[in-house]
Amino acid sequence: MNVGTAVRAIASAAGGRPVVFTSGGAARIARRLADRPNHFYLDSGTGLASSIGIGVALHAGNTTLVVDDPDGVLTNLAALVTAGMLTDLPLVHIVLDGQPVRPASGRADLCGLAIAAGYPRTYTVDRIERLTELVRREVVSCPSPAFVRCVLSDSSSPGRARAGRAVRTSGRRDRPPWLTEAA
Amino acid sequence: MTYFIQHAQAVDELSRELVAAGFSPFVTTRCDALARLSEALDVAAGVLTVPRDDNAIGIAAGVALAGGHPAVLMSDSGPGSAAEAIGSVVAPHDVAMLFVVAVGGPADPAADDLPMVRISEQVLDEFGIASVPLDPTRPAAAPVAEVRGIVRDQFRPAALLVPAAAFGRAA
Repeated sequence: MNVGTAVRAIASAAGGRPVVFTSGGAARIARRLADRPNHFYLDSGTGLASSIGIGVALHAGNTTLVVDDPDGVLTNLAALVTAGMLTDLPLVHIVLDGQPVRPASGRADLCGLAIAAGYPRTYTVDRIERLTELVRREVVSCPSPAFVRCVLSDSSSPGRARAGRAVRTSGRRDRPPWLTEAA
Repeated sequence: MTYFIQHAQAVDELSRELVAAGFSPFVTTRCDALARLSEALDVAAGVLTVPRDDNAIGIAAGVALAGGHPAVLMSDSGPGSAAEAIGSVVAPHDVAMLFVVAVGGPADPAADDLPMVRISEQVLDEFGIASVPLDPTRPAAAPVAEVRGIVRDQFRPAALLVPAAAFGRAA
């Protein structure tokens, strides 16, 4: 499963339910491959998709989907806590995650964070069929916030393809001098 | 009439007017500068208290996008600290929502707060959010009707600027 197949599956399984896409790869792909009137795309504002999704779900009272990425979750942990405290909020928070969980290397355990924030239900899916089935089920009945970590096996995850520019993620030359000194 | 009773009446009146104007839900961070107003609104209509101003704005924006008429209560530094949320969601999408912003703060605000207060004023101005001041010694109906017109009839965001001394936590 890659970001394209995941986005298509979510858009199709969501039916007419509201879907809020975080800025970045997922929004660009959804716009291009599966644009629908029930979609809202953020052009910027990393992390705000989940807050917006909470607001939509609060007012609409129906299943609302948020398509997020790990950066978005980690940027706005306040939204995670807010969704966790709204125990009957019909929100499905899907995170397209192209990175394996390696706690020892400092990589956050996203489902662990969601559980700690109070999400009563978390899922990890790595097959498109399972993702489709899960979204279809939640569209029919979503009694409480659900957090879905969607494991991508392709490198074209939103977390790795940001606005078409290469981002160096390693190398001591990228660090500020004081950090290099301390390391 | 004592200063305290005057302010208590102003709080109740503003709360009543905001609810009657159809604003709901009210979203806030834990904000001492509007604590008394927040308590009155909580009794009248319920208030959702959440962490972080940008999160509160995002939630309110979602409510507005779904057809509601939300209001966010925040301190005078709130718009500055949530500039990205205003600049990336509210302004570009013309999200019709109300900001209720405490102004004035304590008589001797901490020097650290002043730059954020100035930035907040610039953020509202820069992103074209109409600001309507409220005088607690005059009826709240007129300024509330003005912001209602902007938000609900013109479908634009607006800010109601209320003095913290009248609506915040009693010293």
